[in-house]
Amino acid sequence: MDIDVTGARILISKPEWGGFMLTETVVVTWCVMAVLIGVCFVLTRNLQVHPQTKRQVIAEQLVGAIQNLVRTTMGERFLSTWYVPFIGALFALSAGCSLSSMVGAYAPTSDLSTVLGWALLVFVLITFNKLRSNGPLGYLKSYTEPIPIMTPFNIIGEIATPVSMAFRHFGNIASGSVITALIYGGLSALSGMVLGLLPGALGDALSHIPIFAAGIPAVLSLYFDLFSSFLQAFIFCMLTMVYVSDAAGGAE
Amino acid sequence: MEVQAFISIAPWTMIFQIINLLILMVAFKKLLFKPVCAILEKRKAEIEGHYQQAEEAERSARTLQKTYEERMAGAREEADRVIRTATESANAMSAGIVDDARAQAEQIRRRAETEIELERRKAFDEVKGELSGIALDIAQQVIEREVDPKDHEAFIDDFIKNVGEAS
Amino acid sequence: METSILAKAIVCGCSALGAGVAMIGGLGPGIGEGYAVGKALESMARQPEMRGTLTTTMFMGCAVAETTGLYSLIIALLLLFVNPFTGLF
Repeated sequence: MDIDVTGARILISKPEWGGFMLTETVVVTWCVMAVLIGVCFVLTRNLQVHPQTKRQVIAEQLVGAIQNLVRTTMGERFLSTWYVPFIGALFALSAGCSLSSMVGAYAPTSDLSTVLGWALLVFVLITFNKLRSNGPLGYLKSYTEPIPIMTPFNIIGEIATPVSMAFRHFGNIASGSVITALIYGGLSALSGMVLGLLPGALGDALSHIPIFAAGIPAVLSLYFDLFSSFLQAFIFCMLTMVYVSDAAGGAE
Repeated sequence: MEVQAFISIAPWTMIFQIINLLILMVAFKKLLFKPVCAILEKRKAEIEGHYQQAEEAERSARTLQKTYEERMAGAREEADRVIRTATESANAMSAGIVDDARAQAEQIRRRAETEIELERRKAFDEVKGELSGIALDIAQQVIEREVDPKDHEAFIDDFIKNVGEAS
Repeated sequence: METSILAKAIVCGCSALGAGVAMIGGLGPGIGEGYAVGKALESMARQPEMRGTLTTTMFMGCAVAETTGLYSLIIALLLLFVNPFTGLF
């Protein structure tokens, strides 16, 4: 029984270019993006004022749902900004990357670098909004509240936001993939053991085919891949919206 | 093939993923949100237009109804006026007719009276002629002689005059 | 040479132990999430028309409460699969 839980495969590595490497993560993400952009193309082809096709209804529903989510969570003032497509892209990319494990590909969201990158982008957005609503001095001053002694804790709290977001997403998806791998390996070993008890060449032949590993992981994958993917994508987006609208709170 | 550790941080992957997210955001904005929002906007404008048209139609219908009602009221007034003038003229005409008739009747009566007078005078003249003959006859018989009419003409005239006065 | 293998074995064993101990941290989110779901069910029983909002908010809260558990999970995974301390010897 050999189960190796590792990260993404490194496809191109050029240490002389400042440690440049192209991993499986990025390639799978590109595939997911291509699929998403293709879906967008198909959905918005030949739009009409009086909807004739199901495609257009689906596209309008999607747009309406994202706009509604942003309106209810962030308020009206963020509706006509780039935040709406940002949230849509974040949700679609996060869910798509997590779901890519269903077709057997490596899930880019089970690579900490992916979600940490997104979380850093969200952190930049939060800081930018705080700077804009409070001014640079007000932003610095907000670290010394309520008392100057609290400054280190405030800084830790500020850094903890993106870190916790990244680790939450990463932990959910990665633990799902670890548990799936463990169960798959365990079931393969079990089927090898049980079928190896059969006498003669038949037992030898069957013990190399992991029959038990056929059905059970699918049920688990339903939770870990389908449910958890959408839930984590949703939560990542919700937290982004809450943090950003909170940071921009004063700028009505 | 080389693999990364299970939990590792690769700066290049982070950069790639941030750029991927931004590219997807732009793609969503250009390919999904912009066209769909444009269509929704257009539909909203169309519905607004329909509403406006309906309002306009209602307003024009209202004006039409008002003018119709006004016209109806005008027509009723006109009819009243026509009836009144007709009645008045009819009254005037009937009064005229009655007056005319009365005048005519008066005229007829006067004419009749004149005719009667004439007839009377004619009859009187006739009677006077006859009477003179009769008187002559009577006188002849009374005096038993033939009276010369030429001699007694003055006498007869006198008699007749007396008769005329007596009648 | 002998001591080095022994040291590595000890480090691996202690890492596995540490991973197991770290997963005690899974208790907290379990209790917290159970409490949150229970409260959400109570609210849903009282106001069934608020079902959608309550479910969404409950999942949000659960996900946030899960964070501490995930921290310990990540420590455990780190100790088990990345073996950060075996390189010391």
